[in-house]
Amino acid sequence: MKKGLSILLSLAIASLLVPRQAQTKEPIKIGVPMTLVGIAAQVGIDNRNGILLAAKHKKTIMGRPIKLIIEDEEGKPEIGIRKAEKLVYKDGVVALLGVAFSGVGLAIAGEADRLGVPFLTTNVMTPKFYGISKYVFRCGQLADDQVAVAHAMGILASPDLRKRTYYVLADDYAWGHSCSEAFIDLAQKKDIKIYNPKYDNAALNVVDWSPFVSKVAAAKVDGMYSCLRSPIIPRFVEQAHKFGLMKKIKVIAGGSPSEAALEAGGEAQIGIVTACAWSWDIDTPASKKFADAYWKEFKAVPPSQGCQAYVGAMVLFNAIEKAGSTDPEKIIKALKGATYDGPYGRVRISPKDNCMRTPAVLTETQLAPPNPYGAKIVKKVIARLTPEQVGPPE
Amino acid sequence: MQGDIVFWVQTGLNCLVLGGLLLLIAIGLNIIYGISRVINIAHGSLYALGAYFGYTLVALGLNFFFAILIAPIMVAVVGVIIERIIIQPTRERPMIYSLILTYGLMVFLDGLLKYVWGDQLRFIEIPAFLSKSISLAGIPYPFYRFFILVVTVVVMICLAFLIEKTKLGMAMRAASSIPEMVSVLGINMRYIHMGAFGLGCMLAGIGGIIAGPLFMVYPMMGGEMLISCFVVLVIGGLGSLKGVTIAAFLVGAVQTLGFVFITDFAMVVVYVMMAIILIFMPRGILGEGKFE
Amino acid sequence: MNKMNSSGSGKYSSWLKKNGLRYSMYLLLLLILVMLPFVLTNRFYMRLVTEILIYGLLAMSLDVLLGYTGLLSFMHAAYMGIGAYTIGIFLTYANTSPSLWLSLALGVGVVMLIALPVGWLQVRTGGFAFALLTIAFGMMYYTIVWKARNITGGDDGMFGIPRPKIAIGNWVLGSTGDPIVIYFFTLFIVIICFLITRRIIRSPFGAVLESIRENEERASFIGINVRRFKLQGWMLACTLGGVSGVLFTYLKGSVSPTMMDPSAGGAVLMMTLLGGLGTLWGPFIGAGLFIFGQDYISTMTEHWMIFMGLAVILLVLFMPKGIAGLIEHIIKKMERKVGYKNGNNFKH
Repeated sequence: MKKGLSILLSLAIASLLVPRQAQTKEPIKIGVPMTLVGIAAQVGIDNRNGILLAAKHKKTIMGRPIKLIIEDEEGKPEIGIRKAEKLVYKDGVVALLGVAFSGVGLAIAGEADRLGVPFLTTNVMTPKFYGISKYVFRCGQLADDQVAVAHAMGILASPDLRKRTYYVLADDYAWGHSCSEAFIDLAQKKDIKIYNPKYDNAALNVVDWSPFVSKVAAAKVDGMYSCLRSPIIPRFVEQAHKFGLMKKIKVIAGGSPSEAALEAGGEAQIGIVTACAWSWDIDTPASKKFADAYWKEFKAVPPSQGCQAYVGAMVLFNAIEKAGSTDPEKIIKALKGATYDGPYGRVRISPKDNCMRTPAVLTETQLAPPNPYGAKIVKKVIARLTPEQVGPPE
Repeated sequence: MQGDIVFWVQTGLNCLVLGGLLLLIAIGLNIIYGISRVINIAHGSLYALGAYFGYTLVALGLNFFFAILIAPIMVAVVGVIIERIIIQPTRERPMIYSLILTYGLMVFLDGLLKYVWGDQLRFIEIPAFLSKSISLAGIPYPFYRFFILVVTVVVMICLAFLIEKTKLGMAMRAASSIPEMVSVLGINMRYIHMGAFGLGCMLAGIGGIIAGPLFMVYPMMGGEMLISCFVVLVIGGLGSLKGVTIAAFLVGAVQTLGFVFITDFAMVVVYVMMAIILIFMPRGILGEGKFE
Repeated sequence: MNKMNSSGSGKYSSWLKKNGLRYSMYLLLLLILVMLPFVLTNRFYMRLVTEILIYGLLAMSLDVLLGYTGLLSFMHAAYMGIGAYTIGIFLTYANTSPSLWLSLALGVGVVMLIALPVGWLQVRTGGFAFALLTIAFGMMYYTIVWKARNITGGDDGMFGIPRPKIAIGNWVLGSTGDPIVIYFFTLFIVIICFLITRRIIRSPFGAVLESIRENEERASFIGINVRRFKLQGWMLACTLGGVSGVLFTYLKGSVSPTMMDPSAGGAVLMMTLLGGLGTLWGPFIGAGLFIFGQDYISTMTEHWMIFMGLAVILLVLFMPKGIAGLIEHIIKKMERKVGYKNGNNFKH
């Protein structure tokens, strides 16, 4: 009896001590499936950080705090579907944001109609995404065809790049193929010299790049178009550097190397030309503001992919706000034609195919001037492109 | 391209370098098997550990050459600890268990590597004179790759000396043939087992730290090298040091040439080679090995 | 003793005493499984449970191979993948609305067709050599799936695969797209597979497999055609794996090469180990634990694989029968406490 009473008493006291749910507004939950492990982890981390920063800056949507629920899909499509279902059915998110890989993006997009929430990707490059589903949008990383256009324009605009012959080396999977095919197709139309129109494939599990370095060297070309993944291109470059090849060729990277890898790689990574939406070298107040904020928050060199993800997240947040509700149909309507003025200019989601039209920059890796981020390497802007130039036309 | 002498010399040297690395790692595996009858699936992780230790030592300011000496010793210590705690209790059990055990160990170690050092690519800084590209009769080739060949040769000579000329080596050779007799002679087999495992891990560590600056350091590097090493062991014959040496350079050549000519299917050729030997010639090419 | 002089009722009551606890637990389990969809109303949980059942089936098939026949495979998930891709390709490219049972038979048939010659080659070896061969062939399958982009979608995989209806003759039960329908269908198939496999394992055939597992040499000395039996054990394991693959495609509506890559092979091995080798039902628990870890623990930390590796090491060192072994141990203790004679001595 005494025991029972004391238990009751302690329970009563405990319940008083439990803070009552303050009458705060219920948060807006946004699901972020992202690849945080494996070979593309850096890409995933950069994306995630950009999204986190956007949530921090935006703070609230319609007066309600933003709650990001981040799930690691390990770069595997079937886990991506499972996590997307968890986010939508269990956690009740109003939208999905993120993914690092096209494969995972496509898998989730395939389920989008069933999941019934808007899905905005920040890093998916495959052209298959154009108009894939009314729920699926793309904003952030340039698409393969946009990258090809940006590179082709950059090559044509530079007398030095124009005269070179390019050896095309692609990672042997869907993205590598689509990246190189997009470029070769365009290059042939624009009279850019390609050494191997059937492009060379590099298996995904190559450890020793010397056979490829030797092949490129034996081709006696003076340029290379790489469709190797972002974490892989620095490895190739490092080994090519040891062969003295980097002095002879100009590498154009269809897959933009990550800032973290460039920093780790040091001087060998100089001279890589790559197109992206943003580099911390862009000298506008909006760009600097982002770069400083990123540095302050994460103490890492502000990465292109982080900024691109930031922009994508902002577009989504603003669209939900514009829709004034969490109703998927209203958010989708708001996303169509949505615009955002961000660190690299005005980005717009085309209502025609749900994919973004964005300005871009062509950059070349150089030794960095003194900068507040401790960066040794900078992606120096060598050309700017407007959204109309980048395309695709609508 | 095919007729180009520069290309062929470079490719030939590339084959040698890869073969040398595979040899370093595979010999370690072979020694562990030969003496303890344990197939160490976690060997790749220990190779990666060597690279990571090397990375940290160099990042902390240690001279690269000192790091080459110290990192493998660190890996050897880890190896001895593993042997004592995990391998030794299961020695009496059927081999399937030791396979599963070392597989779990690999998963554990790889996860630990990722936890401590993260997923991103690491580069090991080497002295400037090593990263130059030198010219042999007009053919450019990275000096560092020659360095790898030199290290491989030195290590093999030391190993041969150890095994042929020292008492410890003699005990190991005896232990690999008739372990029971060795205990009867009063030599403590436990120490032999620990020593063998430690030595095997040390060799893997050496492989790791010298491969690090070349292939860069990342958590999956162990797994990628491991399968090639198994192919080497299968072809060379488990337990046959001479066979492993020949097999290492053979696999190095096939893999390198495979990536040159048939990129997409290069590794498939390697797997097919392994499968054929396993099915039809389980004692290895020289017929000296002993496979379960 | 009681049984000898008893009439019919005596026999039944002693059977009840011997097995009553066990069978009432089975009944309870069945009841829980059937009631589950009505308790867990959230669609996500239903699909998660269905996925656990499917992977449990795959892990059980690996248990047949490893726990009973004693053959280790590092890439057993490849056979799930072959089954899944076969169905994926068939459903995507077939113009007619296919019958569920036909596609099931097709998927399983293709897996058996591929597993037979490969198995025939592989069973000439054993132990480590066998394990390496499973890696070699597994990587070959993986490469083929990867390279045949035009048919399999390469690394993008195939998504949006049409969902057949579940029908017997003209009576339509529902579409595989419906989480509850697919759950019951999967449960039905899995239970049937489990019962059939258990029957096979408990027969003399199973005993032969176990004798091969214990000591191949001795088994051959007493006249057993070791290779033939290993092949049969292999075929059973791969067939079950193929079934799990077909169910996978019905559930997910998409396939990708990652479901048959080395890490998937390792995952199913760990599921079987966690659950318990040589138990048949243990792997289901192992699958549940592993997927739980992948889902929930991975939300908290991306380093959950460290725990998995550690779990494998500890299991091999201390608890080779896995969680199932632990549960069996507890049940036996319970049975003894309640006074039953010895419980059931059969290894499950």
